Amino acid sequence: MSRLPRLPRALLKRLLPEDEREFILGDLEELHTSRSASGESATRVWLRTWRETLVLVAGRRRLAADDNRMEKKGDGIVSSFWQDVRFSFRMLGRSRAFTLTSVLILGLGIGANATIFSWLNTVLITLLPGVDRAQELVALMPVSPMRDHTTLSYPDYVDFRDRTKTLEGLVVSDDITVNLAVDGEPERVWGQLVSGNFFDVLHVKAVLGRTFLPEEDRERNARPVVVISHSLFTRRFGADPEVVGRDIPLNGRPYTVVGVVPPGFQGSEVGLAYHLWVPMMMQESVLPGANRLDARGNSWLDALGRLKPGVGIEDARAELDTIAKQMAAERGDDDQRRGARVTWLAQSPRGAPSVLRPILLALLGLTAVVLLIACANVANLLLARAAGRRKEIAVRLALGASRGKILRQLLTESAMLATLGGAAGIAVAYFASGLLRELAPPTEFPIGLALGVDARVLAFTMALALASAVVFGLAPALSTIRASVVTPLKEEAAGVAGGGRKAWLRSALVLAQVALSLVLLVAAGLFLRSLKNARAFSPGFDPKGVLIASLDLFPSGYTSPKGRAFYRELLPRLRALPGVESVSLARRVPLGLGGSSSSTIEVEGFVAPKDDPAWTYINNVGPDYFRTIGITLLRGREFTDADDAQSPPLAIINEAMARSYWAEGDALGKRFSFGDPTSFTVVGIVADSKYRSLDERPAPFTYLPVLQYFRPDVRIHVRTASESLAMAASVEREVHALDPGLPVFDVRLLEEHIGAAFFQQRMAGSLLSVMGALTLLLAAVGLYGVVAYVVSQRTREIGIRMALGAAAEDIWTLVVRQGMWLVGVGLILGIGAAAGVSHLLRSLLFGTGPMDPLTYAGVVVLLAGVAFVACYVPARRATRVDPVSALRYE
Amino acid sequence: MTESYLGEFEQLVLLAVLRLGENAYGVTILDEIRRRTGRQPALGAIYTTLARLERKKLVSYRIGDPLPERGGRRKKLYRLEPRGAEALGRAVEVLTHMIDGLGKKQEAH
Repeated sequence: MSRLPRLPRALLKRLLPEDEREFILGDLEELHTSRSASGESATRVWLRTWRETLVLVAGRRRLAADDNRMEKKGDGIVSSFWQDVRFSFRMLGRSRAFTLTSVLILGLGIGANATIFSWLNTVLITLLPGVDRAQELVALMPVSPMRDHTTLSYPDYVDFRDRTKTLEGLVVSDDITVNLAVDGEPERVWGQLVSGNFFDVLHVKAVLGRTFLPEEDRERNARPVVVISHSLFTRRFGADPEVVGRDIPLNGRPYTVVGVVPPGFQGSEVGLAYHLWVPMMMQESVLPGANRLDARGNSWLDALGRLKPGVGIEDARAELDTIAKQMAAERGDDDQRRGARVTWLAQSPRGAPSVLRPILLALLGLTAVVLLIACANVANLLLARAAGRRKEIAVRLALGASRGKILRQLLTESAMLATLGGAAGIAVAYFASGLLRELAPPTEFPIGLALGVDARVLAFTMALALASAVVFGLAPALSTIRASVVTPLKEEAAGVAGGGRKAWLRSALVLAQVALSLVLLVAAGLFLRSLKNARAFSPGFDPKGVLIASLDLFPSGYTSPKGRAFYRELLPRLRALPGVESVSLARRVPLGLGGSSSSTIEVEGFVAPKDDPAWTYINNVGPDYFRTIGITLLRGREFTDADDAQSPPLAIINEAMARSYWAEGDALGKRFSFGDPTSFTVVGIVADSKYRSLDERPAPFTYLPVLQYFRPDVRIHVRTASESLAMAASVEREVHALDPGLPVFDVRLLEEHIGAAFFQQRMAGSLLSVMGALTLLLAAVGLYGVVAYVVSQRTREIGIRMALGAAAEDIWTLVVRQGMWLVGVGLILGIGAAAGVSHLLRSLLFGTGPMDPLTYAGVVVLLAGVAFVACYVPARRATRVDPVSALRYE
Repeated sequence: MTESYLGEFEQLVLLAVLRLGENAYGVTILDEIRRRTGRQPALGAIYTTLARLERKKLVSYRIGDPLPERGGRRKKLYRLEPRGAEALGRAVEVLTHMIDGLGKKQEAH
């Protein structure tokens, strides 16, 4: 026996009311059976069953509509709303080209905004994925008379943590990289060394096992435990729950996995993804250098607190500042400038928010301009379309529809367009949100941006879509109704003046478009020029032709003597490679996002003011460093292979340092110390160069020999005569020849690395160029539309003029002049607006002011040129008007 | 409640229910209309109409027994209510009035 096909049956089961289901399905089954038995072809029976199903569903809806009508007789608004929506759908469906164009334009405008918002959402609102209410987290930083730090020492942390009453909890963390060797394959994994309360304060619960116990935050170096990320759990351990309780080797020492955190959670630094967490007490086994937990002078921890419910950030600021002053006073330091700085995590001066916040806010503002231009374009399209609908609306008004009802109807149409545009915008954002990852600067840190479209982005986009519906819909709707009150039957009589008001509105819209495009193009131009300036700017060293590659000996268990020996063996091997000009090592690479080290110093023969102690940035570098990186050696000598642990302590300083602390006389041969008995002799002075950013002022800088002051984490620098990147494999081979298990990572060109210094300009320049091109196109289309419209309105006039003997040129000039007049006014307004906007962008520009004449001139010429073409085409058509047929048109 | 007029399809369904007596349900009503008028209405259309007639209290129903050829499901059997008969009568009457004398006038033309 043939049974009812599955899909119709399932559909009906779902859609029919329960009390009817049985009888209807029964009837259908019976019909189906009898039809199958009657020898009808299977296809026919199948088709008929489907038809029955669909009619049944439609019938149910009709009955439900009956019910609604009966129930809601009084409730006119809701039903007439749906009526409006249905009617709008029909109207939009009737003019597909219009609908499609509008949705496309709106989709791009809204999509651009949704994309930038999705980035903002990730970096500044969501902040830490997987963390409950991360917006309530605050960053705590000490303030000292000398310079602002962003990090705390461990003893300071403990004091803050134990004394605060405004914070629910305070946590600290530092990045670590460890060698994880599971089943042979060693891997370098980023993790965090965290205080024991870390997961509790962030409100993160383990999905498997547990997080840290109080005693794991007390006993030093005694409890090697680790919590791992969900992605490490699936990737490295095949999501085997048995991993909890298992020992895994980190830097060769077995750690017990005690828990797995939920998917999504990636740590406490915005934009970075870590994969394991080790309690603070294990510091000595995961961070190079000896125990740091007792040194109050050593600031190295990022602190994050959560406000208690009901406590404002101002309260916390006041309290923590007081605590900081108390802590200093207890140690005999009464300087009132000591204190604490508390900011929301989203406004923290460290990490991704600090880098991305200014640029994202600027971009959001500029994409709003794109949306305004898109709205102006759609408004123009609506106006053009309204001309065709005037009769329809006049008839409806004559039949007694109120103006309010028609206005509502027209606005509903706009809202529908906007909703469709919003949906298209979400699609754009869905695909474009990942772009930020491509635009992010090269960095050694584990970037982990959880980009995408979430509920907040959806809500933002839809709100934006509806707001734009009002922006682009209201004026055309009002104007259409007004125009329709004058009987369209008089249309012909109205003649040239007929479209007057509307032409005026359309002209205003084009004017706005031209002005807004100019703003956007000027912004794009300024960023592109900044980028060019930044690229051309000499940072005081020569990044071209230098390859860098990172090594970290610490996780592989190297001691200082062993590490020094390793460097000493490695350097000659690298120097011997064909094509290599020179080779060196350095702990820090300038102009990345990699951070810096600095210290206060005591200089022989220099008395620093009490509140402004002498200080310097520090880098540990190898022999030939200055030759390799291209910093000019002014006096003295470079470090050599001989400057090692056995020789007396040496330093090379920059000019700024020599000037600051040895203003009179020669710094060469003079001595200074870092506050301990070891005294360093200056053996060389080098030119100043840029260390942290391109626009910094020269600051004191000290280079120490890495063979003397050993650091296990260094970047190999190789200057080559030719293809530098091609050298990467040889460098790696030489390293592995000495130690096959030692990972070589972050291999890249120095040029690429310092790109991070101007990534904001690059990001803004490339995004705004795309948006600028888009808006230029939109403005051109809008202008073309207006000029073409004016030409069509003036056909008769032109015909008369030509009949009276006007030459084609005269007509041509007439039309173009009218269009270009609009453009001219738009450009003037645009220059004013652009000047205002670019002043706001000033801090993001490099090597160019907000009023760069070349940029403005270039953009004006470009816009005027495109506008001319947009006017030219319809003007040409005007000259071909046949006077006779133009007059007969009436 | 005001008198309701019957649509054409409503009349057909009411007439079919009347003819079928004790055995009027979806499938038989469909069959009856098909056999007598040659139309092929959809089951859904019949159900929609029956639901409307039911609301106007022109028909009522009872539940039949489960049958194997229906996959063990029961039938909803309809019956004409007095008001339904009345409405049908009125419809026929209206129609007769409209037709009455039509032949003669046409001849007079």
